Amino acid sequence: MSYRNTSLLRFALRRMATAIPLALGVVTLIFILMETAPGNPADLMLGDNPVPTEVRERIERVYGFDRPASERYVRWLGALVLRGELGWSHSRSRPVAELIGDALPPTMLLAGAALILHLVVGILLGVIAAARHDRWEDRTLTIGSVVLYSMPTFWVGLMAVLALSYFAPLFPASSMESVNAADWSLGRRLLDRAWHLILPATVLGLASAAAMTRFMRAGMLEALGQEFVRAARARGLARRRVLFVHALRHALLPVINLAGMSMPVLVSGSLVIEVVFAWPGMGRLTYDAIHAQDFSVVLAATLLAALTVVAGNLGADLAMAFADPRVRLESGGGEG
Amino acid sequence: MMRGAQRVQPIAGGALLMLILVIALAAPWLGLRDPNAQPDGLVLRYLPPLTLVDTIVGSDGSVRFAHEVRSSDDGSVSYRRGERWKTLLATELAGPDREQWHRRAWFPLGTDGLGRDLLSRVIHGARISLLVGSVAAVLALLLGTGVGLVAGYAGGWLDTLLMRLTDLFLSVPRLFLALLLVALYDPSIRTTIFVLGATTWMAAARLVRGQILSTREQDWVQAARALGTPPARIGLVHLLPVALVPLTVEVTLRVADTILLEASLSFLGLGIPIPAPSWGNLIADGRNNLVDAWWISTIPGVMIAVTVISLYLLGEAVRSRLAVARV
Repeated sequence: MSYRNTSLLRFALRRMATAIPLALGVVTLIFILMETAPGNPADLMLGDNPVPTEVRERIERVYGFDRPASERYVRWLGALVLRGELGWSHSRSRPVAELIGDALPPTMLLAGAALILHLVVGILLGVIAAARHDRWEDRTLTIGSVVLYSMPTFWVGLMAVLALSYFAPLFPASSMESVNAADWSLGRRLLDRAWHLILPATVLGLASAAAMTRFMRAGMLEALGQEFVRAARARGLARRRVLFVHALRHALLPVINLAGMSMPVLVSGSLVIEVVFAWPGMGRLTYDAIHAQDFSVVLAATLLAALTVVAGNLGADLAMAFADPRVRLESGGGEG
Repeated sequence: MMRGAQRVQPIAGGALLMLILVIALAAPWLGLRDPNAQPDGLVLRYLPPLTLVDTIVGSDGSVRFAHEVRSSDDGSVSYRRGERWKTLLATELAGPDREQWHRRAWFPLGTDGLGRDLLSRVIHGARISLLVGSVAAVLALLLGTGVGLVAGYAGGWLDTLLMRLTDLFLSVPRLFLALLLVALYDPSIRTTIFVLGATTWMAAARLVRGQILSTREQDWVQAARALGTPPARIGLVHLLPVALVPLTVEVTLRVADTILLEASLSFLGLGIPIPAPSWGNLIADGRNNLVDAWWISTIPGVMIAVTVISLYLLGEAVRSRLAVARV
């Protein structure tokens, strides 16, 4: 047992060590993109507001825009890493960190619910498609997932609002809670939240579940053709047991990877879905900030989105290593 | 997948795509209304699909749209726009007979809030969306092929550097990367194409690199090297053509991808500047009155889905023809 733990720990540390330069690289990439863009940072900060030259010069001095790029990079990075400083939002007149603190929980709620849905629905439908291979269930699911995958997520959101909020008014069209929710009891508020969550989370989750279904179907078909599944069947185990215990276990392993890889889709998707449903999260914050030319907010949101992806991949790899000893031994160079 | 579907798929995908392409290319000669013209903001406002509108042709050839038309015995014609009735004398009409001054204007897909013809806008939108999607995809493939070719052939530190760069670009969710770039540069069709290209090249780079790595040790490449062929020539003449085969599949997927991303950007108000009727802009426009004018957002979305599906089908067909391994 202790051998298992040390090799896992070693793998985790090594994998985390590669994530750090990647995260640093992302930060640097974003800095370079900003630097190479036309116009100077002071203009970006001020937007279209007319200001006297002295004010502009003062801003350049205070923020160090008159310094060389290398010096600014070091300062910016230092402030970011050492103090977690994300800058000041001029459109909301608040620190960016505070804005993100407010916007992050709703997004995590939305994306978390969507992720669960993505996994559960994707895996379940994939299993069904494989179990009913080449029958109408399989064909319907295959066609359905291609169609769903081909539609812009935000448009699916709009259509869902149209169908389920207006034509058949079952769910609220926007926002995270009812207008007078503040006066309600805790239980009622939670129910109200859940009710508001259903539509956006379903749209976001289903959009990525389409890919998961196709992936799961392929994995399950492969597993079902394997010797151990045939052996289990030959032993006379119930069909359902063979399907959900023997084959599914085998097919689930790569799913961990796909779940990690679907983070960018989920993060990008939550941006447009939040705009469609007026969900007060990171996507909505980013959208408003771009239109207000509030650059420090856009920058921080992009950074956070990128770090989420890096963390998602890291998490998937660690989960993989935990579930499958071959992974940690492979990249461990056969040590131990 | 079923055998039958395998035969039907490429035909269906190809035919559908051809149809969309031909219609898009032929748009100027289809006798469509000007996609940005607002001939009558009152009568033509938010017409649902399949609406016929009464129009009166004047003696000077002018066309008036009307909610209601009544002709009287003296040859004059009264027509209503909104609450108001107006009368045209017999001399002001294109001719004495009803057939001469009366026409019915047909709006197969209805109109938007400014009275613009949606059929025309959707078809002209196809031009923009397909143009932007394919140019951006080609840009992405050129960029990706270049990076993959250099990385795969040069190897060493250059390979490591370029692949780490690819990882970096893959780590920033594409929509955020695109938004950041668009926010930095001024929105225009050119910016959109550049941004889409700059954010979708990574898959091609990995694909080409992998392909190069697997072919660079082949006999014919070794032979070329032994003959003293310059590296650039080996790369372009001996390695690149092999890498291009899987790229043909990649093209269809990238065009589909960029069309979807363009729609997202335009929907967020950061893609193609309005009033250009790109499909994303049309959907965004329909959002203003989703409940009473559902068709404005619905139809362009269906067009996007149909285009993307036909691209996928075509890509799958090419893939199975070339027997290229799934990437």
